[in-house]
Amino acid sequence: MDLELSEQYESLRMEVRDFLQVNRAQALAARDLYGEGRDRAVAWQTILVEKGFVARTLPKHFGGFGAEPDLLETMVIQQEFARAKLPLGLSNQGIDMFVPTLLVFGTEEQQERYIGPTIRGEMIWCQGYSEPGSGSDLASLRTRAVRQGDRYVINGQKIWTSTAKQADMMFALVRTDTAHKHAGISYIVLSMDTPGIDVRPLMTMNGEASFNEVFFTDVEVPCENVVGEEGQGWNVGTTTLKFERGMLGRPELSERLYLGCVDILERVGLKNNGAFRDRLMRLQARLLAHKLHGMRLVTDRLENRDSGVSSLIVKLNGCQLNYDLCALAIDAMGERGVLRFGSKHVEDGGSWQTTHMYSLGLIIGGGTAQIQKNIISEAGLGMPREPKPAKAPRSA
Amino acid sequence: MEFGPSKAQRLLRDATVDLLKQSASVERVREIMETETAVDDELKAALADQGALGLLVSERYGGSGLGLFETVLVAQELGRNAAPFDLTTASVIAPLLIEAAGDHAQREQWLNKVASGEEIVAVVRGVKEGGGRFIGVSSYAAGVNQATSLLVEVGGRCWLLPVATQGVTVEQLNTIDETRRWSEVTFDGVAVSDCERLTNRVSSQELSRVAQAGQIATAADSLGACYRGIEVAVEYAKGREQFGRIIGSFQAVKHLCAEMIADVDPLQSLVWYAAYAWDERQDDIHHVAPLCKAHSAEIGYDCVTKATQVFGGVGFTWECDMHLYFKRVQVDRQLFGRPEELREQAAMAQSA
Repeated sequence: MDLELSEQYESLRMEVRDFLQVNRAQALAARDLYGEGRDRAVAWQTILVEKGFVARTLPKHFGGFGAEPDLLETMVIQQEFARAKLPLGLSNQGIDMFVPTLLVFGTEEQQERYIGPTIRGEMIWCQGYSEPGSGSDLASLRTRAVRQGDRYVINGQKIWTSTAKQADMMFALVRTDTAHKHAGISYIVLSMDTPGIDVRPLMTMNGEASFNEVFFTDVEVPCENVVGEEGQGWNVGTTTLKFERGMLGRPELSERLYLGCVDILERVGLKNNGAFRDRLMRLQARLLAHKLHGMRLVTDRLENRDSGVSSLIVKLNGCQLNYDLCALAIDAMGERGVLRFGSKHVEDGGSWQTTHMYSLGLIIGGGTAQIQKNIISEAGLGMPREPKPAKAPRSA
Repeated sequence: MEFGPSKAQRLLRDATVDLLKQSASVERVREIMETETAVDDELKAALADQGALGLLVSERYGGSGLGLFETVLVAQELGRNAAPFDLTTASVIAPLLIEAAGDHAQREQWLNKVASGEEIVAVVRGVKEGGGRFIGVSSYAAGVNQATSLLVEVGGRCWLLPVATQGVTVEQLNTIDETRRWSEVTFDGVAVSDCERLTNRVSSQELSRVAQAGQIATAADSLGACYRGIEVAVEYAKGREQFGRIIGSFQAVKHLCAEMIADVDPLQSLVWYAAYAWDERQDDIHHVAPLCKAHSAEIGYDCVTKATQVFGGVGFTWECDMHLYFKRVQVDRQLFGRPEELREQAAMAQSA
């Protein structure tokens, strides 16, 4: 066990720290990618790429910084942004899920075309996976892509599509073959302004329209937009989901929420209340274990060791922790805790309620907690799969 | 940076795993449990041979001069096997107190014996010193059953005396965990001058530091028992059939297992970090140690409760090994502070 970092990393740490101190105002102003502030967000993101703080190891000709992969550099950069309580550049499905997938499965041409604009925030992506009839059983999806000459004609519907309204592009799983369940799925990218696409906002429980339904009527997409081979989409798509699991359990948000809880307890005068303090300490223990667990996973990767079950539990734990942290803040506020944004007396603009409900959404989204437990027990502990019903209805 | 055991530390752990496979198989543990005092001299000798008793003793006094991190690796394996040896008392608390209180000659004399296993020391608290005599009762004293000597600590002052001293009565208490016995030690007029007084008074900061080491080692013991509990529960669930199916294929069962490992595995990271922070004397140890112990108590309780249920009715039987790990964790929970007290300590340490 050795947590010392060599000089090279400590000097990178100071570089990041100084940079954030000098540029704090610009960082704070660059938060709204999906609204008025898009230009500012893209400009800030572009600077972060140039500095090598994001897209650090991405090759230069794809628009990245081109550094050799070094997990410790990445870790130090993450730690310094967390310390400054600033997000480490943009985080969205294009950057965190699509780009890593494209690096594995994309053609050179696809990589050159999409990666650069995506990481700079110029090209926004949404994910077309779930359908009304295909949630946890994603491979039963039915959105149909029929090949006609050099294009596919797509008909069907996607649901739970975050940022579909703002997105320029979608990566989607579609059915190119009805005879095979998994082998009939293809991974395809398409422009959101293609004729025949209809996006309808889906109002969620926290009053936001963070999800959408997306309807496809005779949407024509060139065949070259398939990522991987036709029929390989399940393999490609589940790779994306692995990246999503990594994205959804990251401790940075938990850490911010924890500090928010400490602040709320202070503000409402419950800092020295034994019961609330006990609850806070329980959460602190979980947060600490969760954070340290992340460092252990970094070490496993540095040593090329398979983390096994250890890597599968991050999403489950992180999302539940966020939810429980918000709940503490809400309880500490009492009546004020259930006031909605816009109401008189509301604290922090009602963000605790919004985040609380959104955290519940993330316990469900990205593979429900129950699906996570299936994965943990089957892939992690080697427990047998649920047997298929004797006569499974054929999908699609 | 390397988070977790280094190669050398993993070798030490693997050697302990092998040793315990030989010396603390579950059959052997059950055999020892049935005996009057549950002391296994062969296990003690094997641990001593491997140097496991002197990990925290510096080299000049016959130990290996390693740290709490290494000790914790061994403690976790002992917990995993529900082994009948109280390492926390014999190889953490006792040597740390002797180190802190003894002068050079006393350390030389005692620590060599502690490291070699020639002397196993248990710690006795709650006794009063007055009129040149020790008077009083120390209840719930751990590790006295395996000890050759007692270390009496009164307000930072320490004395050593053989267990078999005139005026000292040891009565065994029966906790639910039959692998590690507790004792009630009564002092009835033992002359202070007959005991070896250690030269230095141990400061309250040093006493806290010793307690923190005990908290972390105990957390590791529970962690080991939890891992074994998950192992045996998963193994059972993979073999047992009901309704024409392996029960491990039912989500009701496999989700219990997933929850256990999802809770326990991050605790491993916390235990490693806490031991490291103790060794490095980091500032955050004052809240990390009690939080680590409190967390192990909560996680441990949930884990052994769920693991027992995976066995169904079998889990409630004496024959099923699960109760060994269940009881190990339940007893650990009460040592070095209850979870609520420890979280209070952690909160205080951060507001100070």
